Amino acid sequence: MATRKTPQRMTKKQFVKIVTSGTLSADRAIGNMVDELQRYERKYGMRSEVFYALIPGTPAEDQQDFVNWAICYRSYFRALQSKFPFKELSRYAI
Amino acid sequence: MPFEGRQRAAALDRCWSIYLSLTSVFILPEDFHVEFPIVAESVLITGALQVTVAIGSDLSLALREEYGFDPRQRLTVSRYSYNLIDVSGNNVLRADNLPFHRTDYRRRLLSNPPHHLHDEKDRIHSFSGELGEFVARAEKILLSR
Repeated sequence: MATRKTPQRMTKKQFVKIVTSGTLSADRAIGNMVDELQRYERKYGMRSEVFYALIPGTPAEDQQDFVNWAICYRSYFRALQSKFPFKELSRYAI
Repeated sequence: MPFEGRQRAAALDRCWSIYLSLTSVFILPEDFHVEFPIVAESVLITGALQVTVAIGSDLSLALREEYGFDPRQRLTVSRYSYNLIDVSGNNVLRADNLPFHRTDYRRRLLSNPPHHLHDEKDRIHSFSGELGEFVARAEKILLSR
Protein backbone atom coordinates (compact mmCIF):
# COMPACT_ATOMS: atom_id res chain seq x y z
CA MET A 1 0.00 0.00 0.00
CA ALA A 2 2.70 2.47 0.93
CA THR A 3 4.83 3.74 -1.93
CA ARG A 4 7.07 6.72 -2.56
CA LYS A 5 6.15 9.84 -4.52
CA THR A 6 2.44 10.43 -4.83
CA PRO A 7 1.82 11.69 -8.39
CA GLN A 8 -1.06 14.08 -7.66
CA ARG A 9 0.93 15.95 -5.00
CA MET A 10 0.58 19.72 -5.27
CA THR A 11 3.55 22.03 -5.40
CA LYS A 12 4.38 24.43 -2.59
CA LYS A 13 3.44 27.33 -4.82
CA GLN A 14 -0.01 25.83 -5.46
CA PHE A 15 -0.39 25.07 -1.76
CA VAL A 16 0.44 28.62 -0.65
CA LYS A 17 -1.83 30.08 -3.32
CA ILE A 18 -4.81 27.98 -2.23
CA VAL A 19 -4.26 28.63 1.47
CA THR A 20 -3.83 32.37 1.08
CA SER A 21 -6.93 32.65 -1.12
CA GLY A 22 -8.84 32.27 2.16
CA THR A 23 -11.83 30.00 1.65
CA LEU A 24 -12.25 29.15 5.33
CA SER A 25 -13.86 31.80 7.52
CA ALA A 26 -13.05 32.23 11.19
CA ASP A 27 -16.74 31.56 11.94
CA ARG A 28 -16.59 28.21 10.19
CA ALA A 29 -13.36 27.25 11.97
CA ILE A 30 -14.84 28.21 15.33
CA GLY A 31 -18.05 26.32 14.46
CA ASN A 32 -16.05 23.17 13.70
CA MET A 33 -14.34 23.42 17.08
CA VAL A 34 -17.64 23.93 18.87
CA ASP A 35 -18.95 20.74 17.18
CA GLU A 36 -15.87 18.83 18.32
CA LEU A 37 -16.09 20.15 21.89
CA GLN A 38 -19.75 19.14 22.02
CA ARG A 39 -18.91 15.63 20.76
CA TYR A 40 -16.45 15.20 23.65
CA GLU A 41 -18.93 16.68 26.13
CA ARG A 42 -21.60 14.17 25.06
CA LYS A 43 -19.14 11.26 25.05
CA TYR A 44 -17.77 11.93 28.54
CA GLY A 45 -20.83 13.60 30.10
CA MET A 46 -18.78 16.59 31.16
CA ARG A 47 -18.68 20.21 30.09
CA SER A 48 -15.45 21.38 28.51
CA GLU A 49 -14.90 23.96 31.25
CA VAL A 50 -15.11 21.23 33.89
CA PHE A 51 -12.88 18.89 31.88
CA TYR A 52 -10.29 21.63 31.43
CA ALA A 53 -10.28 22.47 35.13
CA LEU A 54 -9.91 18.84 36.17
CA ILE A 55 -7.90 16.82 33.65
CA PRO A 56 -5.14 18.71 31.77
CA GLY A 57 -1.93 18.86 33.78
CA THR A 58 -2.66 15.54 35.47
CA PRO A 59 -1.59 12.03 34.36
CA ALA A 60 -5.23 11.36 33.43
CA GLU A 61 -4.71 13.59 30.39
CA ASP A 62 -2.54 10.92 28.75
CA GLN A 63 -5.31 9.59 26.49
CA GLN A 64 -5.86 10.43 22.86
CA ASP A 65 -9.29 12.02 23.39
CA PHE A 66 -8.16 14.09 26.35
CA VAL A 67 -5.05 15.45 24.62
CA ASN A 68 -7.19 16.40 21.62
CA TRP A 69 -9.98 17.83 23.77
CA ALA A 70 -7.51 20.07 25.63
CA ILE A 71 -5.89 21.27 22.39
CA CYS A 72 -9.32 21.93 20.85
CA TYR A 73 -10.44 23.89 23.93
CA ARG A 74 -7.37 26.12 23.88
CA SER A 75 -7.62 26.60 20.10
CA TYR A 76 -11.29 27.56 20.44
CA PHE A 77 -10.43 30.35 22.86
CA ARG A 78 -7.47 31.50 20.79
CA ALA A 79 -9.66 31.80 17.69
CA LEU A 80 -12.47 33.44 19.65
CA GLN A 81 -10.14 35.97 21.25
CA SER A 82 -8.69 36.95 17.90
CA LYS A 83 -12.17 37.34 16.41
CA PHE A 84 -13.32 39.44 19.35
CA PRO A 85 -10.16 41.17 20.61
CA PHE A 86 -10.12 42.28 24.23
CA LYS A 87 -10.08 45.95 23.18
CA GLU A 88 -13.35 45.50 21.30
CA LEU A 89 -14.98 43.69 24.18
CA SER A 90 -13.81 46.25 26.75
CA ARG A 91 -16.40 48.76 25.54
CA TYR A 92 -19.08 46.47 27.00
CA ALA A 93 -17.40 46.42 30.40
CA ILE A 94 -19.47 47.90 33.20
CA MET B 1 -6.06 35.77 13.50
CA PRO B 2 -3.59 34.45 16.06
CA PHE B 3 -0.73 34.28 13.57
CA GLU B 4 0.48 37.34 11.70
CA GLY B 5 3.27 38.04 9.23
CA ARG B 6 6.30 35.84 9.82
CA GLN B 7 4.32 33.62 12.15
CA ARG B 8 1.86 32.82 9.36
CA ALA B 9 4.76 31.97 7.06
CA ALA B 10 6.30 29.70 9.70
CA ALA B 11 2.96 27.97 10.32
CA LEU B 12 2.50 27.43 6.58
CA ASP B 13 6.02 26.00 6.34
CA ARG B 14 5.20 23.54 9.10
CA CYS B 15 1.98 22.50 7.33
CA TRP B 16 3.87 22.06 4.09
CA SER B 17 6.49 19.87 5.76
CA ILE B 18 3.71 17.70 7.19
CA TYR B 19 2.12 17.43 3.74
CA LEU B 20 5.46 16.38 2.27
CA SER B 21 6.10 13.85 5.06
CA LEU B 22 2.77 12.16 4.39
CA THR B 23 2.66 12.30 0.61
CA SER B 24 6.24 11.09 0.17
CA VAL B 25 5.49 7.90 2.08
CA PHE B 26 1.84 7.00 1.49
CA ILE B 27 -0.59 6.99 -1.41
CA LEU B 28 -3.36 9.11 0.04
CA PRO B 29 -6.98 9.55 -1.06
CA GLU B 30 -7.46 12.33 -3.63
CA ASP B 31 -9.69 14.19 -1.18
CA PHE B 32 -6.69 14.66 1.08
CA HIS B 33 -4.94 16.87 -1.47
CA VAL B 34 -8.04 19.04 -1.76
CA GLU B 35 -8.71 19.21 1.97
CA PHE B 36 -5.20 19.75 3.25
CA PRO B 37 -5.03 23.45 2.27
CA ILE B 38 -8.24 23.97 4.30
CA VAL B 39 -6.53 22.25 7.23
CA ALA B 40 -3.64 24.70 6.82
CA GLU B 41 -6.04 27.65 6.69
CA SER B 42 -7.54 26.46 9.91
CA VAL B 43 -4.05 26.45 11.46
CA LEU B 44 -3.75 30.16 10.71
CA ILE B 45 -7.05 30.82 12.50
CA THR B 46 -6.82 28.44 15.46
CA GLY B 47 -3.07 27.97 16.00
CA ALA B 48 -3.49 24.20 15.86
CA LEU B 49 -3.47 21.50 13.20
CA GLN B 50 -5.89 18.63 13.04
CA VAL B 51 -5.83 16.13 10.21
CA THR B 52 -7.04 12.56 9.81
CA VAL B 53 -6.26 10.52 6.71
CA ALA B 54 -6.64 6.89 5.65
CA ILE B 55 -3.26 5.36 4.82
CA GLY B 56 -4.56 1.91 3.96
CA SER B 57 -7.74 -0.13 3.90
CA ASP B 58 -7.71 -0.58 7.68
CA LEU B 59 -5.44 2.12 9.08
CA SER B 60 -5.74 5.88 9.56
CA LEU B 61 -3.37 8.53 10.78
CA ALA B 62 -4.78 11.21 13.07
CA LEU B 63 -2.38 14.07 13.71
CA ARG B 64 -2.87 17.00 16.01
CA GLU B 65 -0.34 19.73 16.77
CA GLU B 66 -0.64 22.94 18.75
CA TYR B 67 1.78 25.73 17.93
CA GLY B 68 3.46 28.53 19.77
CA PHE B 69 6.41 30.83 19.21
CA ASP B 70 9.59 31.11 21.24
CA PRO B 71 11.07 34.50 22.19
CA ARG B 72 12.98 34.54 18.89
CA GLN B 73 9.68 34.07 17.03
CA ARG B 74 10.49 30.56 15.92
CA LEU B 75 7.56 28.18 15.63
CA THR B 76 7.40 25.49 18.29
CA VAL B 77 5.09 22.51 18.59
CA SER B 78 3.92 23.04 22.13
CA ARG B 79 1.68 19.95 22.25
CA TYR B 80 1.07 17.12 19.82
CA SER B 81 -0.75 13.86 19.53
CA TYR B 82 0.03 11.49 16.67
CA ASN B 83 -2.18 8.44 16.34
CA LEU B 84 -2.29 5.38 14.13
CA ILE B 85 -5.78 3.94 14.39
CA ASP B 86 -7.28 0.71 13.02
CA VAL B 87 -10.76 0.31 11.52
CA SER B 88 -12.27 -0.45 14.93
CA GLY B 89 -10.91 2.82 16.29
CA ASN B 90 -8.22 1.16 18.41
CA ASN B 91 -4.85 2.84 18.79
CA VAL B 92 -2.15 0.83 17.09
CA LEU B 93 0.47 3.44 17.89
CA ARG B 94 0.34 6.87 19.45
CA ALA B 95 2.86 9.50 20.41
CA ASP B 96 2.61 12.67 22.46
CA ASN B 97 4.69 15.01 24.59
CA LEU B 98 2.70 15.03 27.82
CA PRO B 99 5.22 15.26 30.65
CA PHE B 100 4.07 12.26 32.71
CA HIS B 101 6.56 9.59 31.71
CA ARG B 102 10.26 9.45 32.44
CA THR B 103 10.93 5.77 31.75
CA ASP B 104 9.88 3.23 29.13
CA TYR B 105 8.03 0.00 29.91
CA ARG B 106 11.35 -1.67 30.78
CA ARG B 107 12.04 1.10 33.31
CA ARG B 108 14.84 2.57 31.22
CA LEU B 109 15.02 6.34 30.98
CA LEU B 110 13.31 7.79 27.91
CA SER B 111 15.91 8.98 25.41
CA ASN B 112 14.12 12.26 24.69
CA PRO B 113 11.54 13.08 27.36
CA PRO B 114 8.78 14.23 27.41
CA HIS B 115 8.39 12.69 23.96
CA HIS B 116 7.17 9.10 24.10
CA LEU B 117 5.27 6.44 22.19
CA HIS B 118 2.48 4.15 23.32
CA ASP B 119 2.38 0.82 21.48
CA GLU B 120 -0.69 -1.34 20.82
CA LYS B 121 -0.50 -2.69 24.38
CA ASP B 122 -0.13 0.88 25.73
CA ARG B 123 3.48 0.22 26.71
CA ILE B 124 5.75 3.28 26.72
CA HIS B 125 8.72 3.56 24.35
CA SER B 126 11.29 6.27 23.63
CA PHE B 127 10.45 8.66 20.80
CA SER B 128 12.32 11.52 19.16
CA GLY B 129 9.31 13.83 18.95
CA GLU B 130 9.74 14.04 15.17
CA LEU B 131 6.73 13.43 12.94
CA GLY B 132 9.06 11.75 10.44
CA GLU B 133 9.87 8.99 12.91
CA PHE B 134 6.19 8.41 13.60
CA VAL B 135 5.38 8.26 9.89
CA ALA B 136 8.23 5.77 9.33
CA ARG B 137 6.90 3.55 12.13
CA ALA B 138 3.38 3.80 10.72
CA GLU B 139 4.69 2.80 7.28
CA LYS B 140 6.44 -0.23 8.77
CA ILE B 141 3.23 -1.34 10.48
CA LEU B 142 1.22 -0.78 7.28
CA LEU B 143 3.66 -2.87 5.24
CA SER B 144 3.63 -5.68 7.80
CA ARG B 145 -0.16 -6.14 7.49
